[in-house]
Amino acid sequence: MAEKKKTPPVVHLSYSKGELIIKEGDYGISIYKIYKGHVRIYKKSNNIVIPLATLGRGEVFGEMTFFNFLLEPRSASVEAIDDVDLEVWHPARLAEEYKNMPAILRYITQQSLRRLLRMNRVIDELTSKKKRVKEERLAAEKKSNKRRYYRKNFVQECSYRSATYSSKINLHGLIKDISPMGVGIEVNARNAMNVSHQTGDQMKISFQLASGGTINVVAIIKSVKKSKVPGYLFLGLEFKDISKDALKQIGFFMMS
Amino acid sequence: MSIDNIIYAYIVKEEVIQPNFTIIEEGAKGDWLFVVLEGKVKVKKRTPKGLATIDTLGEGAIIGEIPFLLKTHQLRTASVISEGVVKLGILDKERLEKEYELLSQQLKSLIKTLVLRLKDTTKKASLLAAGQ
Repeated sequence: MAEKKKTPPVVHLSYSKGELIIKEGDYGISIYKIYKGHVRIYKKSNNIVIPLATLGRGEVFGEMTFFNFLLEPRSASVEAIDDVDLEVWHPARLAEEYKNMPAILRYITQQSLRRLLRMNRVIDELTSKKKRVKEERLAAEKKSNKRRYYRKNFVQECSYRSATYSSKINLHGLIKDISPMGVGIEVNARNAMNVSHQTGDQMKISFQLASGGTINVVAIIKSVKKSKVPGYLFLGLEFKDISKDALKQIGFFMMS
Repeated sequence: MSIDNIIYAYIVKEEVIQPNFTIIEEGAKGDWLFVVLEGKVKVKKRTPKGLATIDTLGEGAIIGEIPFLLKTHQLRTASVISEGVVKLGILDKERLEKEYELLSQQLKSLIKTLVLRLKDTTKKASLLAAGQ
């Protein structure tokens, strides 16, 4: 058996749920091994939290600073998910060992580090590219006056009447989809003979959700298409006047 | 990148590989380590949307280090394919293994953590690249 390296005294630290262990951007040199519990690693970009990983018992974090020769600030934050016990390693002796290990092992490790940093850059670039493409698509959709956002399909009767022209005529429609931004309603084409159904017209709509609450909104017609059902039209409407309570109810309904 | 004498000292065999030859196949077993002595290789990974090229490596690049350093996961994590004619050096795995084993438990887990991160990040990058 070759000489066995002595393990230096180890410091233990405990953190409670929600406590921050490492803060992105800070300068720290310790390396941590999880003895008990779980931690969440995340980055913040423009105040948006990007989760990177969840680690548990036996796993190590804080290694990036070590391999970067302690020159770089912490590249991500680490937070305790539950009660966490950690073993804290001071890097001084490890850095010494790293410096003295066979050169080829250091060469391989350095190459792995460079590849990891490159892959991280690729991910950053592709993610921001993806985000840009999405933003461009949304902007294009907005331009073309289409309704945005995910719509939930559901079928619910509703009554509506023109809010643009003073009309007392109550009309009937069938809501086919809904989002916090608007609704899609299928109506009998005959409705459009009595009351204007043009893009830009505003409608007062009243309907019930499964929760029992009645929703009253004013919405603008964004699109008028022929429905798949002959003799019917499909109206795409965007909410204009909607109460906070109604939005909340729709929000809950979207999640159900 | 020039190739250090450090590496030459570990080469047990040299091989010349024809273009478009699969040197390492993703999912296959094996923990041989190679070094690219001449030419370029492409690193490709399978994704649900097809094969994604995630990297091109040249002279001095070590390939196959992930299964070697992880030990427990001896399956190849990506395919490596020669771009043109490539000269490869096969490294003395036994000697490397012996030297690696001499490191302290802590340093070994640090290196292992780094390689695990590289593995995960490469997977993530290939999925993103394939989604473009």
